[in-house]
Order: sequence, then structure tokens, then C-alpha cells
Amino acid sequence: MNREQFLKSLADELGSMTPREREDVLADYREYFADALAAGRSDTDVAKALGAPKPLAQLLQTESRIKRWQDQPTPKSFAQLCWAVLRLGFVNLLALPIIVGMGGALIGCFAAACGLILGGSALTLAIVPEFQIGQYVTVDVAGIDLTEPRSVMVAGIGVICAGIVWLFINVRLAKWFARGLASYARLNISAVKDELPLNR
Amino acid sequence: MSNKNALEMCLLAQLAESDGYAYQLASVAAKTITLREGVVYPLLRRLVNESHVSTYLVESASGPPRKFYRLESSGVTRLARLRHPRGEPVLPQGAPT
Repeated sequence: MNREQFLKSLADELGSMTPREREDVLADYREYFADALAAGRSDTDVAKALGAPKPLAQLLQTESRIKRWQDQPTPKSFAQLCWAVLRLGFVNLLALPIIVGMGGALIGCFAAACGLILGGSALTLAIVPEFQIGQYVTVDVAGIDLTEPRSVMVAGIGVICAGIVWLFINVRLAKWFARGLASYARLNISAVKDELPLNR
Repeated sequence: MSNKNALEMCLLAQLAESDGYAYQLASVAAKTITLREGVVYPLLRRLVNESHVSTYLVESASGPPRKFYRLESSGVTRLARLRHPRGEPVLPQGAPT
């Protein structure tokens, strides 16, 4: 593989980056090639030493995802980070169930928060007769019907608050999860590097 | 110490002396440690993202402008921590790992 082939396939593999980021990466490698050639090395030798463009591009993209998530911790950048880490392919058999399990638990927690907020809203709205939700709500203690619209509404507000608090806790958990994922990805950059067929 | 930490330490130590560009950093690193050149850029990008290192461009007479790397204060702290990890004896710089 010569310089042009290396740069071309690197550019092709950097699909998920913004054009600006991609140009920045390619400029780095152009500079490196220029310096190496000036030092008397052949471009095929340098391309070989730099490694296979594909795993290289994945590493660089993961790093850029981590950066984007740090700058703007949104659900979108979070999802992109998770996807980039999974795509790296170095997620080994031991770590995969842990990551997928934790990710699943996180989704479950968010669903629970939504459920609490929705359920609480339903209880609160039960006080309005027009919605006709009240007929589905019964508070039954030891066979005595204690259903009282106002107390049901107060309970509903309580459930909504619990849901909102739980949602905030989940956002915090998601941030920890992403931070852990980023550290894990960076840790693996070195560990897997030697095993990747970089010199193809 | 892992190879990556050795390279990271090597890059930071060089930048502590003076600013440098990628190829220069890599060639000097290659003299002291077994260097996989492919790791240099991913690692440099990480150091930049973590604000341990910053970059600036310098126009060069021949060819494209060069990106220089400069050590930032958090990088100095990072280097000190790499050199003296807790619970490990202090190794001379560039010691075999």
C-alpha cells in the first residue's frame, strides 16, 4: 500500500466524522508522510508502519465520539459513543455481556421512570370525571374501599415526583456508564493494538 | 507498565522539554521504546481531547503546515503521575518495560 492508497482508504473509513474532523486527521497523516519521506523512508514502508486504515479509523472515530460526548452530553452523542465502542470489535466475550447488560438495565431504568411519570399523570387526571379514568382506580385496604379522588390525585403527584427524581438519577447513571465506556475504549486501544492485524 | 503508558510518558516527557511535531516525537520515541507508529496519532488525539496537550499550526517552507504539540498544565500533572504511579518504585525514564 502506498501513500495515496493509505490516505484514500483512511478517508473512506472515516465516514462518521464531520468533513472538518476528517480533513484534520488526513492532514496529520499527510504531514507524517511528508516528514517520513524527507527522512528517506519509502511511502510503502511508512504506510505499513502506520497500520491498516480500518482499525486505525475506528480508533480515531471512537476518540472523536468520546470528544463529542464530552463536549455535548446529549442522548444522541451518548448513543453514538455506545455504537462506536461496540463497532470497534475489540469488545471481548467477557466485557460484551457486562456492557450489554448494563446498557439494557439503563434502558429499563429509563422505561421505569417514564412509567412512573405516565402512571402518576393518570392518577392525577383521575380526579377529572370527564377523563373517565377514575373508574379504573380503586384503593382497597383489607376489603374496605378507600378510593377518594383527592387522595388519589395527591398520590399521583407523588408518583410523578418519584418518576422525575428517578429520571435525574438515571441521567447521572448514564453519564457514569458513558464515562466508563470511554475509559474502557481507551484502555483497549493499547491492549488490542498489538493483536490487530495492523501490518497487513 | 504497559507499552501504551510508556509511549504516553515518552511523548509527554519530550513535550515537557520543548514543543514538537508528530514525526519528530515518534522518531525520538522509537529510540527508547519499541514503537508502533500507528499508535502515535490515536494517542496524541486522546491527549489533545483530554487537554493534556494543545496544538498549533506552523507554516513550513516545504510542504503542508506542521502541527506542533504543546504540553499543558494538566499534562504536566499527568506526566508526574505516570512517572510516579502510586505504590510503584520510581523507574528511570525510558526504562525497559
